[in-house]
Amino acid sequence: MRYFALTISCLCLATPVFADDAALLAEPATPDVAAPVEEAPAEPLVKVRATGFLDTRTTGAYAAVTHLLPSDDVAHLANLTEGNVQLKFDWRDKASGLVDASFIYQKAGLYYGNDGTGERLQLADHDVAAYRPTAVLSEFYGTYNFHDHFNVTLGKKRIVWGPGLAINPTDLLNPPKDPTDPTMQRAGSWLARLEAPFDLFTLSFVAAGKVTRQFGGIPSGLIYYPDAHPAPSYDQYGNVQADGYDNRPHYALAARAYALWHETDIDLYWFQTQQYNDAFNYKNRLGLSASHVFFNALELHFEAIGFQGSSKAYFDADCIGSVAAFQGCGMAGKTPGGYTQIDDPGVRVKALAGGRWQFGDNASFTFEYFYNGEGYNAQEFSNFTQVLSMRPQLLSLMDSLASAHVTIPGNPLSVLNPTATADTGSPQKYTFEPMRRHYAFFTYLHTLIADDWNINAVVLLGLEDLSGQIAPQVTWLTREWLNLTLGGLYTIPGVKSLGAQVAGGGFTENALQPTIWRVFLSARVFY
Amino acid sequence: MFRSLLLTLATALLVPATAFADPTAEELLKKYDAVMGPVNFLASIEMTAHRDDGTTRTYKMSVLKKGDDKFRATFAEPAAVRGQEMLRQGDNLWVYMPNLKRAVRLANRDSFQGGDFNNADVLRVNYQADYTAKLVPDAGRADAWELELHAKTKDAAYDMIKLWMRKADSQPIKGEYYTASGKMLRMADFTDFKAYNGLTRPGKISMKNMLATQRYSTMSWDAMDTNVNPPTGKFVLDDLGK
Repeated sequence: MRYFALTISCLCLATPVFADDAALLAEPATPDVAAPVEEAPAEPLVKVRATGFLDTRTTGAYAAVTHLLPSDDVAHLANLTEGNVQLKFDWRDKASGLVDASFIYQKAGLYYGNDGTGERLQLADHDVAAYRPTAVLSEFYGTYNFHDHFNVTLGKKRIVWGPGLAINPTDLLNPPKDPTDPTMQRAGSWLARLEAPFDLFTLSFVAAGKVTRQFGGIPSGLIYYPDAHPAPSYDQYGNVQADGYDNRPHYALAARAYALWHETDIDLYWFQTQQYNDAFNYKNRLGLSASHVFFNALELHFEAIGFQGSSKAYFDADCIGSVAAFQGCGMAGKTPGGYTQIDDPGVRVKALAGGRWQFGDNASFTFEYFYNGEGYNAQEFSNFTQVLSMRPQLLSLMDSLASAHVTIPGNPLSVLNPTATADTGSPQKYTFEPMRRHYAFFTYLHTLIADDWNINAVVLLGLEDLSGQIAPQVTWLTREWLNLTLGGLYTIPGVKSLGAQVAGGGFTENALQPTIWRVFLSARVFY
Repeated sequence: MFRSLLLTLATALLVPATAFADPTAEELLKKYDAVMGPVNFLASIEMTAHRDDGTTRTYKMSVLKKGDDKFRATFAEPAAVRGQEMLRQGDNLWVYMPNLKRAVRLANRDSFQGGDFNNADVLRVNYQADYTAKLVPDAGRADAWELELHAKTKDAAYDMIKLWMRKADSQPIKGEYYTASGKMLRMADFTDFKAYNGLTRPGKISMKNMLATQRYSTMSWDAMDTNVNPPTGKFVLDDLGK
């Protein structure tokens, strides 16, 4: 027995210290080990975290007065001051919530227009909706976890599923992006989301409602117009004015299946939208996206969505050759322009493919190609531009017809503004609403240069006429709580001979809008 | 009597041979992973980047780990990066940017918030999966074992690592991190050994950037709880930002 005891004791001594993990974890402290950490106090029931920033941005701009879209409402000098607060709530692991709200004060002036001879004319300062003070509720939602694998989110939230950096063709839920100013795309949509997350896949279902009325950024109508049949309004000639109200719902439904498969993010999507962020009625769309990192440095991604019809407005070439032709069509009861292909059975695809190379020094370069299957071909773009070039005369015509109580069917001039159907959700000055078919995006980002500097540059290029936007930014991380940013935007005019040949001139897509350049200086204090 | 004496003597001779035998490289690597990356943990970590000009930047974060390959880091300080999150699942790494309200994929080799650690130093502590190890016969110091680690997966953070572990308790005390060509990129000192709820480990790592020798970063573990079992749902892409 003694031999047995001795043998056991020897074996114990001989057992390596690596025998099992439990022994490792329970290992006594070595002499230079500090005292054990004291017991942490009990966690509060609800944790609240507050953060935010105060940002003041002064912008100088130069707008051409001879471009087809008017410059009258482009301020050449503007200041935007934004106070942002973000409150995050956590109730153990059961529920969480976020409020991301901004209060924005803007002051703008120095407006210029065309004096009728093509010369610049300074206009009196006037009220422009885009520069009004407003409250922006970017996000306001709560999530409840019924189970590890099932949660429900309710409120306003920005959900972006696709991997595209500059734009996301599969993002039908959120307001349109400004790819040249990433900080101005935080606004989400009002929605309810059911989500079942698992280790390697997630199923999501989202129902989102369009804000049909809001005051100073605070919504007062959702899905339906609160007063779909208000008392009719009349123009100066006593004609009933179309107010755009209807009694149909305005919503988006989305189902998405995500899988992490062979280290690749794969998403499949189904959407149904009803006059949500575009003109489509009860439109079903299917999409897919994928993202994978190769060679530990190159991320490649793909994102596509397919659907029938087109949500763009088209003009009848027979009706737009002249003001008289326009009037002739209208008097004959023919619509000169409108959403004429909205129920077209032809399948169209919007697709984005790109890659991001990560350099070893906190720098990355992203290239993306975007194909817009419902974009205008050369003739359709030419038709659109033709109508735009006649806009002043057509407005006069519409006014004179109204005085004679004659209306042209289809309200054709209302479709000239491609962003009219979408609420940007924030005071961004530029939204990317592609009119043509082929685009390229280049994004270079280099953070923490010499520790304190970030630079980024975005180039958006229309490949049909080589017009675009270039938006460089330099940020000085002055303190841990203060960033100073100098940024700008320059409109690349493109090659006129490749644009629409209208009224004796060549017009490229990005040179339709009046802004030639913009420079801003921003100071952002974080707290 | 003689037989029992003989047995005792034989046993006594055997003991040193087994009890004091050097551990294998694999055993040391397993110990390293158990100490530096326990199966599950929730830790509060502070990282201070010391820059060329003598100034510093301090980041505070919580790191949650589950199993071998699920990590989630959430930044609390400074205010400019508050709410930013990093998620690792297997060989996949994403960063969530609250100002953009979205996540993008990252490669592992980027520096961690501009300090002298890289993402994998913090979010990929699984040396057994990433490296093959061998013991260097002459460690150059009597109180430590020296390990030479070579990457065995393309996703490993470094091509080669030299790691020194204290003989007294097998705690890591020093690391050197190299490129495939043998160029030293970083050098780490493991200090301030503490017990965290029964787990003894270095409480501080100082990482020196060998390419810019005025620079170094320290990472201190303020608290660490290994008695956690976070739900799997905390480590999925869609949970970022919640």
